[in-house]
Amino acid sequence: MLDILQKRFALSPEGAKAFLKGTFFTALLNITLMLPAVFVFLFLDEYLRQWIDPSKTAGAGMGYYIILGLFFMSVTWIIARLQYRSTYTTIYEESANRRIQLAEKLRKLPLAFFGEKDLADLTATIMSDNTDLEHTFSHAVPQLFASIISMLLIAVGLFFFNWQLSLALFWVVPVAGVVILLSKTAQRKGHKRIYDKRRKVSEYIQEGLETIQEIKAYNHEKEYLNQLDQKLDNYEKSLIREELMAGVMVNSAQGVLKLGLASVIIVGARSLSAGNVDLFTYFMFLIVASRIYDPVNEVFNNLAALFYLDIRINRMNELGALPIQSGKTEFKPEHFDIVFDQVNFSYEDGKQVMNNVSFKARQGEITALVGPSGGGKSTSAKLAARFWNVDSGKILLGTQNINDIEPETLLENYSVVFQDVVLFNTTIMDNIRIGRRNATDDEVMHVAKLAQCDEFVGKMPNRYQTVIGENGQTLSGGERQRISIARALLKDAPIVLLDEATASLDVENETKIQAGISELIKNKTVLIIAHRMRTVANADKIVVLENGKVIESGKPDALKQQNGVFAKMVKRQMLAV
Amino acid sequence: MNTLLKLQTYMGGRKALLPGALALSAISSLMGMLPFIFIWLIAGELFKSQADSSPELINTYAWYAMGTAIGGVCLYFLALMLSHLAAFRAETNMRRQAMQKIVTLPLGFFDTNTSGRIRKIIDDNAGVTHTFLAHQMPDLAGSIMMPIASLALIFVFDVWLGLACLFPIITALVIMSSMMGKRGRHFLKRYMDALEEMNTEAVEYVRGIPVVKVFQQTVFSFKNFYNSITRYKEMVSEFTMMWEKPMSAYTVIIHGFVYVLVPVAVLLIGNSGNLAGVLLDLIFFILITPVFAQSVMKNMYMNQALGQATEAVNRIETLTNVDPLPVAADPISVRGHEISFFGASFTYPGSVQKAIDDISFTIPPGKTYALVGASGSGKTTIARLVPRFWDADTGEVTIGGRDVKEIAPKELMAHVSFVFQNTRLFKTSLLENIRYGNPHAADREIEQAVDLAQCREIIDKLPNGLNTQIGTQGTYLSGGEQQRIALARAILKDAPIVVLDEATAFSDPENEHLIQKALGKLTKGKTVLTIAHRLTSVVDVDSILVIDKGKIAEQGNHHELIRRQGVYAGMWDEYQKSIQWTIRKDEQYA
Repeated sequence: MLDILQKRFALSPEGAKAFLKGTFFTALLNITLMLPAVFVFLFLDEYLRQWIDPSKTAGAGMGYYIILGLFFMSVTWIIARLQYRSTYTTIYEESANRRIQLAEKLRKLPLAFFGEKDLADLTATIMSDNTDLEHTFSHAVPQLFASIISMLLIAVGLFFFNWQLSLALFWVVPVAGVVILLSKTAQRKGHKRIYDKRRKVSEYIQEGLETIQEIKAYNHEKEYLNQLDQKLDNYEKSLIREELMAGVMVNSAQGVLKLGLASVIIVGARSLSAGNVDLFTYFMFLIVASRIYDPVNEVFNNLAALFYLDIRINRMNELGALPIQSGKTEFKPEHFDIVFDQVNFSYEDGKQVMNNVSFKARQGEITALVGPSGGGKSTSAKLAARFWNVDSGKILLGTQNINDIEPETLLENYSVVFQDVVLFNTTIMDNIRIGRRNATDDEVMHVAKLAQCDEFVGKMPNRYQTVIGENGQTLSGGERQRISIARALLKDAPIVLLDEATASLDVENETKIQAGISELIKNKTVLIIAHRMRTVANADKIVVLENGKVIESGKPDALKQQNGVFAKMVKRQMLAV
Repeated sequence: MNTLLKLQTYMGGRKALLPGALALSAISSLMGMLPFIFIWLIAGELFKSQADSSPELINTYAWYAMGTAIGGVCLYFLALMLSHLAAFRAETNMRRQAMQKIVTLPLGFFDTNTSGRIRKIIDDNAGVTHTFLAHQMPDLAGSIMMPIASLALIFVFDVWLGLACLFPIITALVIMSSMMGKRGRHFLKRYMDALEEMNTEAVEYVRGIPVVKVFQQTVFSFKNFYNSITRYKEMVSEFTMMWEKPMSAYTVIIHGFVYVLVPVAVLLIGNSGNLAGVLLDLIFFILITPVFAQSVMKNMYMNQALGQATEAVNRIETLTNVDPLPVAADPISVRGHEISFFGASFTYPGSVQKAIDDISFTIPPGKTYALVGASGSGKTTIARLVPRFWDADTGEVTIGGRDVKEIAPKELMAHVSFVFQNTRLFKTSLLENIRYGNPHAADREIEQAVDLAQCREIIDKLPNGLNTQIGTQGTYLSGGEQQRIALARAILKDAPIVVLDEATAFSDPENEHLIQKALGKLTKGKTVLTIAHRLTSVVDVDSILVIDKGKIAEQGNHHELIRRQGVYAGMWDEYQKSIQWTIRKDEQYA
């Protein structure tokens, strides 16, 4: 039972237990809320019978009812608090656990995932799903189950009392339920349609904002706004259509429930005149009918949350199902040669990116990856640090297959300077210190100087203590790259993975940065993604990748003489400078 | 109220629907009480002696009860439809009007606000107003009927029982308003803040994972996220604990009418001896009180919804509360193609330091001038003042002797082409993308622009040629290819003035070569202002402006400046060094 709940609602074992408890107390509260009816029952039993048969005299006076009322209220008070505690408070504990689980999961995903997918978006979605689930699990799901349970129990009790009136009272509940269930598929489809149209609007707004320079440069404001209008109108139309449908469905279900009271009135009046039912029973059923549907109505009001529960849970499970990387956490390689041995790799779309790639990058040497964009240079560099697992073949560091080593342990041996630099909303000092947590301020400042950060940091109001905003949004591209190089210098790992474009982005400070890079790569195993052929003229080895295959490799001079692809690229670039 | 007024302006022609919805909802809530009155009538019949009571009448009342019950549901449905129509219009109009405003803003605005952020503000907040407008407003109207109805009950039915009813109603309202009052609002703010903090941390955490993993610090960055989750949990838990007693009391009370009504009834029976009359009224009161409970409950989230709607409206209005690009009342047309700066100074909003300071120069028609200088020196700012990304604070920027501020924006845009970094293509066909440059261009002219911009090879490679859609169905062009298409568009536009940032995204050598060629075609015979990054490309320009700290440090052509042995000559030396650098393991650097 707990197992099923855990899977169905993505709950922890404690969460599943808490959920059961919540459902139990909600059902109990639903039944407890029938106490007023019992109270009236006791009262009418005495006074109505007195009216029917005046020979009887009333026994209990006002004091009795006051005391009994206080007693019932106390019971309700206790159950209400138990119910409140069991649903509203535990839910946040569970929600926090879910969020922490999500965070744990994310940090174990292959690194390459973070570039390929918009994980930040997915995370934001799941975080807000979680918030919605808090509401769903405190207001809707336990209530749904509880109202089914309490309704059944009350129904059974009342059927023994009088089956005709019970039938008149309860027939509406399954009918309303069926109406809702029937509308479920349609509503979901409607929701999907709305979601799609809404996304079209969002995308078009995004496109407009991204191309605003072009829109204004080519005087296209009017055309753009007209198209946006059309998309918005479309969106609004489907909103109206779906709302109309959903509204009709939910309201007909609620309308059906109202028929319950009416049918009790009619059936009761008939039975009464036929003498099958006495006045007392009739009134009792009327009173029950006036409040029995409240829990169901409450569930209907939260119907949307229930309908989209699956979508939310699925999104969460989807993230849970992503592959994670593991391996041993003890790793001391004998040396730092990197060997690619018949490596095949494709991203999930099935397009082969690496095709039987083999090469060796020796310790203490510079190995340059060159070739047209899309040829597999970046993928090779990323695979070398196990950003992804290879599909087949293997990559060795020293003598060990990197697939057997836990990614973070493996990465201790790498300094990585790639194009997308991530900065944190903290001081420059701390942003560089990411490179080595225990580095002293002096050490940080030393590498900052080597990476030419000094020059722009000097202009900042608080120098190294300046906080740089979310993802360092106040810094230019070149400045970001320099921080990234400083981090790598600070880490001083035996293997360096470097995207040359990083060094070239900051054209004005190029020479200075080049000095920093020369420092970084001293005596390391260097794998460089090269763009300028001239830069790598003195590399120890060139590996030319095209369409995921190694088509040439060797010393630069030897390759130039071969007159192959590399030689052609060198010539081409001479022209461009 | 203020929020409601603001929201109403977004509803346009559907403004009248909301009051309509409120009225219908109010009527519906009154109608919802009618069935109970019919039950009361039925009970009255039943209390009569067998001979006097009429089964037909009971039957009729029963059908009326059913009819009014369903009528109430239908009216409520109608009310919701009206409020939804109004709410949907408000939502789409918030997006529409925000974007209408956005496109009139100076382009500089988009430097400081990323597209993602703007989009999120518009998109997220527009939808937030929905609950308030579509659901809470009609429900509020329904609930306002409650005190009116209860007064009616007191005087029409039974004063004593009516007064007894008031006791739990008032208690419930007091509890509710204490929860929804100052404390509640204060909580709402803290709740929203904690939620926002947690979501920001989440995004920051995810974005940071690659870095912190590379540097073995996931546990460290995880901590921030973890703490924000814990803080949120503790905050919400503390708050729910705080509400436990009032909420439970509230539950007891709104279901507890009978505990007050019955003892009062016992008292009344004892006093009056009118057993049947009191019982009749009592049953009516017992039946109708749950309706009150429901309508009070519906307004539980009123404050929260109002708070969110207010916040949403404010956020959108703050975002777009920027002056649009000023347009001259009496715009003039462009007469010549000479570009001049007369003592132009500019300071970025929020900054204290002048980005450019007293810049003056003139580019004669048909000449090419280049701006060089360190990053942050002000060269980009100078270039951007020409197409009015910003307007100079003091001094003038003129085209053909006329202040750019006096020229109609459309006219200005028609005469100036600018090619800056991150040029983008539209998600439409290549043909449409290029045609943007000149909607009236003949096919032949488009073909020519394609050739001049070195795009022929891109187009030949694609199965649908020029009709290929970009960005959909997996057709993606590389950065360099996109740039060439954008250049084809600019070439087709054929504006007499070209402002360009030469830094082409670092792509493969092949692309770079072609882009340079295309740029050559674009600028041929035009008045050109270019931001240069590689000094080799300024060797042949007519004049070089060396910018340093927002001022023109030197001016002249390459040979003059080299001879002067000043700033430029130093840069040239440095540049020569950088292009000779190769990556080497035994490099010796000081």
